[in-house]
Amino acid sequence: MPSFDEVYTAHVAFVWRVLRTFGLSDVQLEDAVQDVFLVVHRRLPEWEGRAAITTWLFAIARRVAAAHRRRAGGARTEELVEEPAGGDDTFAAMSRAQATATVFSILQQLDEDKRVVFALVELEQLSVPEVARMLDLNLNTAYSRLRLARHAFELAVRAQVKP
Amino acid sequence: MTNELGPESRALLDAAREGLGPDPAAIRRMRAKIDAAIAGGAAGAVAGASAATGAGASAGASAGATAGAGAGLGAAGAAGGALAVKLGALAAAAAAAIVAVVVIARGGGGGGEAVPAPRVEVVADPRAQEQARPAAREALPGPAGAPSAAREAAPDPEIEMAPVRVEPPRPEPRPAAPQPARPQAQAAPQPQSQPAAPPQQPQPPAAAPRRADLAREVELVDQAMAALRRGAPAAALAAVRVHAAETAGAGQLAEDAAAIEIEALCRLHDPGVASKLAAFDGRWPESAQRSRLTTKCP
Repeated sequence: MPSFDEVYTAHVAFVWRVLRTFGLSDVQLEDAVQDVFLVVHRRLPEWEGRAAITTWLFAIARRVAAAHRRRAGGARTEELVEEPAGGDDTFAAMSRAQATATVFSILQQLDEDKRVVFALVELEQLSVPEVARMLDLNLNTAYSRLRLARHAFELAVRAQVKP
Repeated sequence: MTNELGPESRALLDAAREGLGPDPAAIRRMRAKIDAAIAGGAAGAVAGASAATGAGASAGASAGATAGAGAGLGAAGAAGGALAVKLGALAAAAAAAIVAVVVIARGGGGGGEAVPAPRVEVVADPRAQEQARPAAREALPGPAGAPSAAREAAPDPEIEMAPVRVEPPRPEPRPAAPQPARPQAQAAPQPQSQPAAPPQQPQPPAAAPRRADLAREVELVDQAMAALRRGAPAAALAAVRVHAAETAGAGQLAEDAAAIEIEALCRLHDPGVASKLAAFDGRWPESAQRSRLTTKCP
């Protein structure tokens, strides 16, 4: 079983991105990550490797995100919507920050069901069957959401590059 | 309908993947706060033990669904060597400052038997208890990947014994020097909180002040961040300047504090922000905070 330190080091970015995928704003993220890992710290001895740790972390992060969103009353802060990068940049010239802002902006345009599947597959590089299990989805449904999300993402990227 | 992403989308996602995660400073900051909260949670668990009779049956099994595959993880790879060193120092310091709180609890309260002993027996920093967050207590996934409704309706007893805290508003960390964790005489002596300590009193472990220093830094940076978030850049500036004064500008979170200072100055339209940015770039040329500053303070 991995130690808490190992879990934190290896997966803090995963947890952060999952929380972000669930729509938490920049101002909520750090608190939410802390909440996730406080639960992880308390529950790690019970995890016992019975599931992929990403599955377990995802389940915790999902609930933490829901709790934070409830507390925020569904309100989104201005910082959640970042300005997309300028459309006249080529990708080669884009800074990482610009790429991040662009992707973030596009992801926000997807509805949450598709966004979560897309982020887990395309950003976290998990397999679709694994994502389907994580989200308790029929495999075909997961593939369908991914296909729709990819299509929407492609269209949005083209619109960003060639306005 | 597009079934696969095109090369532009792939390139964009690749470029953004790291940026969508936390920067190293945030990782370090969060970790320090988690450690502080864990330390506080240990004390809180002890404090609540007598009220938690029968609470031992925390229904285990929090492993989510039965997904097996180890899978490609969204691994961070973000914690660098410097972070490891700092965390190591923090852990060592915390371990060195152990107070025998669990022993006290078991000896003094019958209810303690029903509660799993806290696994981390570290010094009970009262500031740290402020980190015990309600969302974390709401967020335990149920067994077999079935999160929610039932578990929300019947809160986990272990959650219930955690120190209760109401937010918002979030309490500001206390600026005072650390107080003794608990009043019990059995607790390990903490000379720094007892000015009239007898000469034979054991000296505190050498690492303890370092932990306190980092905890104080976290507290100040947290204050500054909270001030920024609530739109009070002047208060944020005040906090980072206290940080700079207390650490002589060489604290472990100096980079974070400097970034907050720049963002606060920017929000205040302070003309000195350009020189601060230049100094920041000179001191931390590879800072992961820089892209954030570019966004926040163009």
